Amino acid sequence: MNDITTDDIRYIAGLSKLELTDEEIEKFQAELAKIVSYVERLGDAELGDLETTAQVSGLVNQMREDAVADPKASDNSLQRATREQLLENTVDATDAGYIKVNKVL
Amino acid sequence: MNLQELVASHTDQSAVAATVEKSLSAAAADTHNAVIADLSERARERVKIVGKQLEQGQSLRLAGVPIAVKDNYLTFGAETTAASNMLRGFNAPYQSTVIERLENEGAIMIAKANLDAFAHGSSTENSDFGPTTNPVDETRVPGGSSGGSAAAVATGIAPVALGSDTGGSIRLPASFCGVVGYKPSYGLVSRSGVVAMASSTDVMGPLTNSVADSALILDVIAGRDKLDSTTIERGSDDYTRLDSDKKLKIGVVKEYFGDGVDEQVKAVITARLDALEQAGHEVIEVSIPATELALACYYIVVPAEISSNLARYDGLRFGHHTDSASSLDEFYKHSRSEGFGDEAKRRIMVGNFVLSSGYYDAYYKKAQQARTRLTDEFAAALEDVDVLAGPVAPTPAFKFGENTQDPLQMYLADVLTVGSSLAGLPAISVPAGQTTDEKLPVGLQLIGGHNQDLELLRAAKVAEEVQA
Repeated sequence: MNDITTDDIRYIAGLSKLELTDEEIEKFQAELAKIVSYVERLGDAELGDLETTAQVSGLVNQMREDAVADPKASDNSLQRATREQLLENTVDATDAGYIKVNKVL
Repeated sequence: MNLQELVASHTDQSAVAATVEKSLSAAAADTHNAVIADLSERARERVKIVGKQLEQGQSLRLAGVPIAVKDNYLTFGAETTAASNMLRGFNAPYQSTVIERLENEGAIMIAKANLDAFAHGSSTENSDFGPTTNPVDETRVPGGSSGGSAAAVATGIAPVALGSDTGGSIRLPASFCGVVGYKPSYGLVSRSGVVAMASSTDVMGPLTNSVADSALILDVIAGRDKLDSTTIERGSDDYTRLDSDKKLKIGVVKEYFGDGVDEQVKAVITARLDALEQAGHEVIEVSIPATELALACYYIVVPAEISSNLARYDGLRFGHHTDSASSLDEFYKHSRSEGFGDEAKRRIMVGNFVLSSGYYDAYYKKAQQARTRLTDEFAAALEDVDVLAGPVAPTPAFKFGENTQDPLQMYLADVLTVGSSLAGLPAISVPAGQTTDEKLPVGLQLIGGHNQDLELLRAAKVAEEVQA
């Protein structure tokens, strides 16, 4: 398998929406190379066609009715939370209940 | 005094107030940095409410029980920070299901407990609020990531603390600090309202002074929650029915006594197992060969899920946001780079690496297959025995700074706990004794079958009480 290079770190940092300094790139390159080389022991394991496991709850397809509930009557605080409460932690630039963002292009 | 006795002593508001004030004073006098946010105002309001409920004759199973809450549970009355700079100043607009269920039974949250930022760590050294020290030996770490919770119980700040366990984060600090730490079956306790780390292994649970106290907490918080579609039906109507005359068949996992495990840790665990055998329980050796793959599997699956869960920190809806950005993309990058610490960045990047095109099959898919093997081997081993046993951690509490220079070395602290997390099995750390040299606590780990939590807790009570 591959040795992680500083170019790989730059690429992954981009995917991760992280901006790193050159020193950080060097540091993370060394650390990730070590971590990845450790987890590569799985490459030697004989796992054949074994099924993959993504979750272990034993549940499948949990459905619920697509119905509007009365928030005030709910017994939990998430459903009782108001729009104002949910917007309280947003970036300062909220306008009439919307979040303003920087220009995209 | 156990929890049931404490609750029984709370006959009116003044009795509850006395208990809560004692806890609040202990939290205020905390010298271990176990506690990072004060809930005293909220606690005093709750004392009045609980007092009134008692006066009206309501029967509350946790009336006036003070609880320290790991600061990744969304809670009214103080910021919820996950001990991270990213969430400093975050006021939760709702509460976690676990908190609401506990409060419905009269429990009183008295403080928020320290943790490794975003629960990423095994020592609580990775907190953006400074490390917690181990109450047994202040030169040592309390374990992590629920280090503040373990220290809060060990120092008597509260008889109960809430923790979260993704790969050992309840059991490891319990072992290092000498308290009981219990990770229920995956899905048995709602994750709603807890800062997400790795959704397929995150489990909420208690740290307490005894197995019976943990069982009572589970009995209040367990079961389906419509806000978490991964929650399962309870495996028992009453998790507090711990008395049983049954002789246990205990499977000692031979891979948990390998070369990397400290000799004194082995000695403490072996002594406890010998005592169980002398008390008439059957102790046999079992093997889970995929144990050697467990940590590698974990450090692929979990960072992959972290990279996805921590993608929500965009600086816009909650959390730290940058002051310097000229475009939306720059806003994301600056907000995230300023708000996340090194360990979160490291895990996000490992996750995005193993999920990226060209590497997915070699890493993530392999890890998911290894997870199948591990789960199958645990199930097979548990067909023959009631519980599995071994140490919680390969070492007792280590010194500050011992593992901080090498992230991989720190990850190895989880080598004996991640397997049961990946398999979704309930597991508990029960104090088993101390090392001979430095008198450091060592926890015995017991692991049960999925949704067989009552059987596990019964076995844990037997192991707790047996005379070594």
